[in-house]
Formats: sequence, structure tokens, C-alpha cells
Amino acid sequence: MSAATRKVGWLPWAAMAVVVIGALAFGTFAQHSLTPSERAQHVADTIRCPSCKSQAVSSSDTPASQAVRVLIRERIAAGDSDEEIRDFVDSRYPGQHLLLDPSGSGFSGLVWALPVVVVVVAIAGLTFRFRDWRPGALAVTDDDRSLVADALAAEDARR
Amino acid sequence: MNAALGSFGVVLGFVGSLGAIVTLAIGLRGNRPDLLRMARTYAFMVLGGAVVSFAAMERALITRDFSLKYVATNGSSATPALYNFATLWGALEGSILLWSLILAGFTVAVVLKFRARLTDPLVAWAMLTMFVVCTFFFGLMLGPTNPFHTLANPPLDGPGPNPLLQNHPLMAIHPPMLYLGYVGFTVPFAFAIAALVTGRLGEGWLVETRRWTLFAWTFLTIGIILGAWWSHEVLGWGGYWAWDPVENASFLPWITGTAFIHSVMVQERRGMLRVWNLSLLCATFALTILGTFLTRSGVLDSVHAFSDSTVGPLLLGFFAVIVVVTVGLVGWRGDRLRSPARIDSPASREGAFLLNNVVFAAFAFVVLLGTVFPLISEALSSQRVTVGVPYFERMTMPIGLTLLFLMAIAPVLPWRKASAETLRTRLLWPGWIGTAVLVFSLLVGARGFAPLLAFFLAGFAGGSALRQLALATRRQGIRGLFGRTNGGMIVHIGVLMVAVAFASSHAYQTEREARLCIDAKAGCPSTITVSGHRLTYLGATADVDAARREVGAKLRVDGQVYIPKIQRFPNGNQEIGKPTVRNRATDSVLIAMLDAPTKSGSVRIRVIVQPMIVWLWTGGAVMAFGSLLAAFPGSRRRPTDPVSASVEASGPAPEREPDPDRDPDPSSDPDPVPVGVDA
Repeated sequence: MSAATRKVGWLPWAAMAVVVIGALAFGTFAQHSLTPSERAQHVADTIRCPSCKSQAVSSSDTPASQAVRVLIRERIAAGDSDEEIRDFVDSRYPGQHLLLDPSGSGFSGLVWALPVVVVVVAIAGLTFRFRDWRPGALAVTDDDRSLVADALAAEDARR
Repeated sequence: MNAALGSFGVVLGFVGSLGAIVTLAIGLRGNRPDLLRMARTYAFMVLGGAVVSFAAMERALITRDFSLKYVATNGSSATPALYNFATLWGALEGSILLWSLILAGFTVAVVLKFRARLTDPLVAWAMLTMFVVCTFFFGLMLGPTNPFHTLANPPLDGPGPNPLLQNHPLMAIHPPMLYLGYVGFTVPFAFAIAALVTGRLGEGWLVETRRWTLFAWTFLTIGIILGAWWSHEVLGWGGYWAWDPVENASFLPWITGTAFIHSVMVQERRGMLRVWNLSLLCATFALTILGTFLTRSGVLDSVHAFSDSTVGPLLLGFFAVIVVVTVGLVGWRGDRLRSPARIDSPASREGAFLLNNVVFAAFAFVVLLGTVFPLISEALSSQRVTVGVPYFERMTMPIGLTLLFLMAIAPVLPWRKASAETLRTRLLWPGWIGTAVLVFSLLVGARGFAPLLAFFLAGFAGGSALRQLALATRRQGIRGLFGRTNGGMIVHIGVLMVAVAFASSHAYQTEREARLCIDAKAGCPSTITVSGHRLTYLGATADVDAARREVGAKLRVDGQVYIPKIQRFPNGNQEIGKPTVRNRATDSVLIAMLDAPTKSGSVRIRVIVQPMIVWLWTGGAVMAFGSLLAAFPGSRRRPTDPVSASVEASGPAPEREPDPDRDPDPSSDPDPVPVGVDA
């Protein structure tokens, strides 16, 4: 276990951090921009097929889905942003709630906010408990000592 | 005849379960060992009933007895033997029958495993709980999901199962695997209830049920992965997981079960998290029932949904009973559940497990919320909302990345407390492995922040897992691959393969639709190249038999011939595509035929190339293999022995590898701790 006994300082970690951050930054910013058909695919992923229950436009071949795909391609050619296209398609089918992403406002905003709130509360609660869990906070009482003594005696008796 | 036999079996199972409940209750009350031992007879009675019903239904299906309503609506004389056999679990009533059979099987398995201790109140209460669950499911078959309804005027033939349920052999394997997982969680649940009722809340019952939990978890994993594979092969969109309510229903107990498998180690080692572990187990079981409700009551739109029926309120009621009973029992036993131990530092194995559990709980919460939110929204604000794939992907991606990070760090953390230096030392090589994976991904052209981060963390976590395995095998030879910690690391490697496949198939999928002609003409080539794969159209095929008609397109893909098909079954006017997949370790080519080939010699196809998707299915196999290894005892140490037993107290402790599977007391008895000692 030579690796475990050799002391490792911060230097190799700093080197690793540089490589990782550099690689991630390069990989993030050196992306080619999406082709129109890739963009159409991404937008179609987030729109529900008007004549299906929960399938996306991108994974159904119904005439309604094909119509939506045509619509998306037209808007991309017209230079709309993804968000504008989504809103446009949704407005063309009033009352159908075609967006697979629930909107962030109103009652449906809860579906986004609740998990975040729960996680924050849980982490805060645990952090609060951790302060309590410092070893220093532990005081051994006589009750504990007698518990241990009893347990040891019982163990001896069992042997 | 079949109906009579089947109904007899159901009644036998129901009466046996009820009788067992009464007998065990009286036996527990009056402390009568002779009554408690009768659990064995009752268990065999229930299994006998289930086997008779199952056999009667199979016989009806195989002999095409259309006087049974189930066979008349789901069977047909043309269905091939394998799919005909599998039709038993293709619809609601039959799926409850399969559930009952597996449940009865588990009941008998528990009785046999604990045959010497049936008079122990803990085991008796566990048996009682199992029989209550049995009563519920056999009761369902007497009421709303009776599979043995008969028809006064039987038709001459039936429509056969849904076409999508008879065009892939996984139909015969995936549902039973999934049910083995679902139903298997009844056993640890029963012991958890028994521990709460008897007040014996030490670690004994946990140790008893550890392998049962692992067994159920393994089959649930296999079931889920096979389901993903099936949909990838059949649906033709390159998808394998659509966050559909039915898929989520199977995934939810998997999440809580996985959380339990981790946090239970904290309880065994340090006696902490008792309430939490009990809650996780009970939640896992409750979620299997909730999932059954969601998928069988028709309340949610799902591509998998079973037909509407009146079974919904009953399942919801049973779910409510489970929740109320569990919460009540935990509240009642709260005083005995407090643990004297403390977590010394967040940077410790137990601290990491705790964080793991927070993340898994958040995961389960997100999936549950997203699944039922349309219902909540409609009930509370009369607003219809669709919560679809984009929501789940956006919410679960940070969770998945956090879990990858934890898988990288946690396996090297010692119990109690880790110093920064320990972490620096132990994580160095795993960290460099992750960095190498990252750089390699960049070099082969991978781009984008999230997938690259996933590859880095997966490499890092893989390094940590390999480090543990290397240390264990260096010390113990081949035995270093067995046991919970080492088997668990192999499971981790499987999970990482799945994660990498998930990230790369999502981020780097190429899709193309094209019309191909046998003779190339303007605008209609005979050969196209998609992501480096050459596809050439060779001609149409056609095939007709009693079960189906199919047309196919012969294509040469990278030199080999593949035939995507479109099938039409006699019972439907719908055409079902049967895509074909060319799998390689680096990428898969999925070809779906969109329209039947034309007389003029052309065909329209969709080609989807997804990198590394094979890693998803193989990763699932690695996970199953790892949990098999984890089920074997890795060391002779009794899991409840204090781990500090043999640590030398004198001298400054050298910086050495704490060995999770070290045997501190070689003389200790290899048998698990009897349940009695933890009272």
C-alpha cells in the first residue's frame, strides 16, 4: 500500500484542477452551434403531440405532430428563438397545453419550486444537526458507563 | 372447468391467508407456539391456491378456452406459444394473478428460511404481515380483478394481446422480473413492521432481511433495465426511458430501495438512522402499491396504462392503510428508536451515506411530484398541466451528477472521520483516471458541459471503485470480489456504465429520415451514410402467417444485412413497426421503416445513431452480477460485531487502510446473529 503511505500534497490536485477546468471550459465553449435541424429536434422534444396523450412531437408520426414540425421549421427559418417558437406553437393550439415543461409561474410553478425548497430545508436541517454532532458535544454520563459495564458483564457471562 | 379450478385456487389462497391471520393473531396473543408453527401449513396452502389459479389460467390460455372472459378478451388462437403464455400478465386481472403467485412464493420462502424460528414473535409478526398482504391481493381477485369471469356465449376466437405485447420476446421476461422485485420488498417490509410491533428495534431484523432486500432490488434493477431495452428495440425512436408514469412507478421503489441499501450500513455499523431506515423500507413497499394504483386505476395518462377498472380505490385505500399504520407504529415506538451514537464529522463514510440519502430522497421526491403533479394541479387549481420529459431531465440531471460525485468520494472515506490528507492521498489516482477519461472524451470529439462533467465524474467514481477492488483482491485474492462492499463496487461500475450511456446517447444522438431506392435516381439515393455508417437498400421482403403479416426492407448496414419491418396483427388495424438495431460497443444504429416499401422500389426509413447505448444494457448486467457477488458473505465477521473490537489501542495509529471487510474476530461464529439478542 505504498500509495497510502506516501504523503500527497496539494500540488497534484492543483494540477488536476487546472486540467479538468480547462478541459471542461474548452468542451463547453468550443461547441459548434446547432444546425437548424438539430434545433428543430430539440424544440420538438419539449412540445407534446397535439393528438397524443404524453408523447413528444419528436417521437410521434401522427399528422398533427408532422404539422407542428413543419411549424417549428418555419419559425426557425424566420429567425425565432427556441422560446419564441415554443410560445408560438402553444398559442396556435389554445387550451391544449402543448408544452411538456410546466410553466414556471402560477400554480404549476410549485412543481419547480417545491423540490428546491425541500432540498434546501433538508440540507439546512442536517447542517444544524451536524453542529450538534460534534464529538465535543458528547458527554459521557454515569448511565452510559453502567450500560457499558452491564453489556461487558453480559458478554463475559455468555462466554 | 378452468374457471372452476381457478376460482377454487383463489378462494383457497384467500381462505388460507385469512386463516393464517386469525391463527397467528390468537397464537401471538395467547403465546401458543403450536399455533404459530401453523404458519407453515397456511403458507403452503396459499401457494397451492396461487399455483392452481395460475395453472388454470395458463391451461385456459393454451387450450384457448374462450369461455373465460380473460382469454376471450386477451387471447387468440393465432398467438404464438410464447406470447400466449405471457398473455397471462398482459392485462390487469392476470397481472394481479402473477403478483399473487410471486407473493405466495415469497411467503413460503420466508417460512422455509425461518422454519426453526416460527415461534419467535418477531418472525410470527412478519408472517402475519405477509399474510395480510396476501389477503389483500387474493381479495382483489375475488372482487374487482377476478380473472376467472366466464362468458355465457363464448366467442369462437379472441382478438389476441395488444400488438406491442407480442412482437418482442422480452414480454415473457421483463414483467416477471419486475414483479419479483416489487413483491420482494414485501419481505423486509413485513420484518420492519414486526420489529416495530415487538419493539425489537436493534439491528437483528435488518441483518435477517438484508439479502431479501438485495434480492428484490436486484430483480427490480433487472426488470427496469430490460424494460428500457425492450422499448428501445420496439418503439423505434431511440428512446428507452420516457419518464412515463408507469416507468416512474417502477423507478420510485428502486430509488428508495437503493437509498435503504446504503443507509442500512450506517445503522449496522453505528446504530444510527433507525427511524430513517424503517421509513425507507416502508416507503419502498408503499410506493410499489402506489405505483400499482397509478398504473391500474387509469388516473394518469400513460402509454402503458391498463384498462380502467374499479380496483383503483381499493389500492389507494391499501396504500393509505400502509402509510397510517407505519407512521403510527414509528410514532408509538419513537422512544426506542433513538440512537445514542452521533455522527462525528460530515467527512466520513456515514456522513457521505447521509448525504447520499438526502440526494436519493430528493430524487424520489422529484419523480413522485412530477408524476402526480397533473393530478394535484387538476384537483387544487382545476388547471391541466403536463409534466413531461423536459421537466424530469432538467430536475434529475443535477441529482444524477451529485450522485456520481458521491460515488467518486464516498467509497474511500473511512468511518467516523477523514482528514483532508487521507482524502488527498486516496482520491489522487481515481481523480487522475477521471481526468484521463475527460481528456479522452474531448479528443474523440465530445462537447458540452453536462456530458463532459458526467464522463469526468464517472471516470473518477470508476477509479474509486477499482481502487477498493484492487485493495481487496490484493489482500484476499478472488475473495476480494465478494461481499457487500466489493460486490457493491461492481454494482457501482455498472451504474457508471449506465450513466455514461445515458449521457452520451442523449447528447450525441444523430437522427435522419430518408427515402432510399433500389436504383438510385435524383433525390432518392440507394446508399446513405449516417455518422459513418453506410446503409444500402437491397429490396423488400414480405411474410405472412396466421399470427401476423409483415413487410420488411432489406438493408445492408456496414456490410451486414438488417431487416426493419412493419407488422400488422389480425386484431388491429394499427401497423406496428419492428425496428432493427445494429449494436456495437461504441455506437448503435437503429433503423425503423416508416412506410411499407413501394412497388417502384423505394422505402422511407429513419436512422438513429446513438453512441455507447449498449453500455446501458451491459451496465444493467454488471449491476446484477455485482449484487450477486454482494449477496455472498465477504468475510466471516458478524455484521453487528463492534468494528473496533480488534483495533490496537496502543501507539499512534498508523495511516493505514481501514478495511471494511476485515475480520476482527476470527473465532466469531459465521452464522448471522439470532434475532433474539438485540432486544
